Amino acid sequence: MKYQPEVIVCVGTGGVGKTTISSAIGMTAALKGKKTLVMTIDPAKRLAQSMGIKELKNTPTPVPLKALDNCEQRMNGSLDAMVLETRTTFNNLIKRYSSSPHKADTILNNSYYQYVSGELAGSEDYMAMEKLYEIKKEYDYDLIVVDTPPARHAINFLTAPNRLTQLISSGVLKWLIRPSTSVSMFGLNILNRAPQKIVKLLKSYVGLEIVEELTNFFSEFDELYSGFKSRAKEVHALLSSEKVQFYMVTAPTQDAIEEAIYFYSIMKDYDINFAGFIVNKVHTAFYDDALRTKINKINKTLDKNDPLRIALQETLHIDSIALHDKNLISYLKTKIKSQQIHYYLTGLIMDRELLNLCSLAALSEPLNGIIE
Amino acid sequence: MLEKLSSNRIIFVTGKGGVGKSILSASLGIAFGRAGHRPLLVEFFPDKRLEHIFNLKAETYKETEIQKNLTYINISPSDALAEYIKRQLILDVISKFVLNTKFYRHFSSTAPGLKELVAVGKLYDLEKKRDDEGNHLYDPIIVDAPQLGKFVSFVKTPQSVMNMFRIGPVKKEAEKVNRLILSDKCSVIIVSTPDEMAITEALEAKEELSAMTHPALKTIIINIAVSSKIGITDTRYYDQRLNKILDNQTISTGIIEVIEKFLTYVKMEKKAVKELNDRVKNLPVLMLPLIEVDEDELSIAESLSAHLKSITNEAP
Repeated sequence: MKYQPEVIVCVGTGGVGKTTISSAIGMTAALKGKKTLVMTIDPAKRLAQSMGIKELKNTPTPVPLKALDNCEQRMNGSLDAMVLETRTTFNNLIKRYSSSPHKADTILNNSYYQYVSGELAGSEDYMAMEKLYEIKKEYDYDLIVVDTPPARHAINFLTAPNRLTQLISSGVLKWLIRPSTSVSMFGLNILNRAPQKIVKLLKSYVGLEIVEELTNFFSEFDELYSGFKSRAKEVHALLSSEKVQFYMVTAPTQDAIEEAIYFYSIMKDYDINFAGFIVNKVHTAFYDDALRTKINKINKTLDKNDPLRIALQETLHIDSIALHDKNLISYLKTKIKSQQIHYYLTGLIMDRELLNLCSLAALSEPLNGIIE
Repeated sequence: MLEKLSSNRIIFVTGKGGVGKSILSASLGIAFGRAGHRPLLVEFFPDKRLEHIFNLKAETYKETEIQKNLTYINISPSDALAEYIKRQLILDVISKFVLNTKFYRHFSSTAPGLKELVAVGKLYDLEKKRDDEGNHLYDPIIVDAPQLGKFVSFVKTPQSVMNMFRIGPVKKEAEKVNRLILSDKCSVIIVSTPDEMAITEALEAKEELSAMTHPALKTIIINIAVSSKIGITDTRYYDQRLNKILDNQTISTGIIEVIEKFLTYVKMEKKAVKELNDRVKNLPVLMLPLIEVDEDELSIAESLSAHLKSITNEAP
C-alpha cells in the first residue's frame, strides 16, 4: 500500500498554476474525508475569493462549506486555508528565541533585520518551512498542502533555508563583531596588520551607519543562533521524512519544462521524498488529422474575411497548442525516464472559467490518485 | 502605439508569471528596431528568457547587437557590484585585491540590497550613454522586469536601500537611481492573458502603481486574445453555414461541437476584456492575437512585433 503523506509540498516555477493545483489537491483530500489545510504564499486575493473567504489570514481559516451546496461533490472532511506572512512568522521566531522581550525588540527594530525578514531572497522560503513545522506541531491535520513561493528556479526553495542560516553564521559577521581577531580567515593576509583600514574602507564606501547596524544585528543574533540552528535541524528532519511528499508542478511551456527537468536532475542531491510531476495547463486536441484536413479544405474555398473561415482558423490555431503541448510532454518524458507524471488537464485556452469552490472540486478529480 | 510608448526612455514590461512578458519584451524590441529606433533589451541574470528567445550564447553583462538597431544586455548583479566597487575604489590595485577576498564574497551576499541596487543602477548608466553626435545611444530601453508581485518591490529597490543606508556614498547612489526610476522617463507595461485571474492581478498591480505616480502605467497588453476577431457569437450562424457547405452530417456535427466550445470561450473572453476596459477607463488596452505555436519563439516574437506595428498605424 502507498504511504499516505501528511504533508504535500508543491514546488514549481511562477505561472504554472501552482496555487490552483495546491488548492485542488487540498480539495481532493477534503472531499475524501481528510481534515485538510492549504497553506499558500500567493498574495492574490482571487484564490481566497474562489474559496469563499474574503481574505486569507496568517492562521488557518475554515473554508465555508456552504459554497459547495450547489456542486455535485459532497465534502466528507474539512478544508482550511491560510496565507503565509513572511515577516510575521520571522518576528515570532525572533520572539521565541530571545532571552527577553527587550532583546527581541532590539532585533525587531534593527534596520538590517527588517531587510532580512522582508526582502532578502530566501526568507520567504525559509519562513514557509518554519510555518509548516509550527502548524504541524500545533494542529492535527490529516494533510497539509503547501504552496511554495513563486521562484524562477524551483530549487531555490530547497536551498534557501540553508543559505540563510549559512549567511547568519558566516565568518564575515564574526569579523564584523571582532575585526581585530579573525581577518586572516578572509584571505586578507597582506592587510592583516591593518584590519581597521578595511573597516574604514568599508565604512567609507558603504556608509557608517549600516556597518554599525549589521554589527549590532549579528551580536544580538549570536545569542539566538543556537536556537535557530536546532530549529532549522528539526524543520529539515521533517522535510526529509517519509511523511512529506514533494510534487513538481509544471506546464507545457519551454521554460517551465526545462526548469522541471533541471529540478529533477539536481533533486537527487537533496534528501527529499519526490512523488512526481503534475503537468498543468495541458490542452487536448479538438480535431483528428482527417477533420483537420477537411477544415483546411473548407477554408480554402472561403473568402479571407468570411466569419466562418476566421472562426475555423482560430480553432485550428488553438488546436496547434495541443500538438505543441504533446511534443513538450514527450520531451519531458524522455528526460525523466521512469518518473511518474500525473496529468492534470486544464486547457488554458478553452476552460478559463470562473474559479469557485465547485470548479475547484471538479478540477481536483484527475488528482484522485494522489490521495488514497 | 509605438510612438506613444517611445516618449519614455525606459519601459518596464511586467505581468503575472506565464503570460508571455518576455516574448512581448522581445517583440517590442524588434518592433522598435524595425521602426528605426535604437532599442536596448534588458534582462537580469539569472534570467535567460530573452537569451533563449534570440538563441544567443550571450556573454552576460556586455551589450551585444543582436539584430539591426537592436541591442541586448543581460545585467548580472554580481558584475554590477564589482563594477561599482571598482569605481568607488579608484586605485585599481586595491579594488582587485578587495574583490578577490573571501571577505568581499561574504560581504556582497550580506550587504543589504546592494547587489540589487547596482543592478538597477546599471540602467542609469545605460540611459546616459550617448553616441558621437550626442544622441541617445539606446532609445528606448525595454526591461523584461520581474513578474507582478515582485515588480513593485523591484521598482522600490533604491528606496529600500535609502532606508537602510542613511548616509554615505551608497545612499547617494540609491538616490541617483531612485530619481531616474521614479521619474517620467520611465513607464510600465503590464502584460496579461484574457482570463479573469490574470486580469484581476493586473488590476491590483495598477492600483498599487497608481499610488506611486511614477513610473506610470502606459498600457495593458492582452496577449493570446482570440475574441477580437470574432464578430458573430451565435452558434446557429456557423451551423447553417457548415450545413450548406458539407454534405456529411457527422463531420458537420463534429466541427459544430468544437465551434460551440470555442464560442463559449470567446464570450467569456469578451466579457473579461470588457470588464477590464470599464475598470481602467482611459488607459489603452491592446489586444494581441494567438500566434500558431508550432513556430519557434523568435518567429512568434516577430509576428507579434508586426502586430504591435500595425496597431501604430491604426492609432488615431
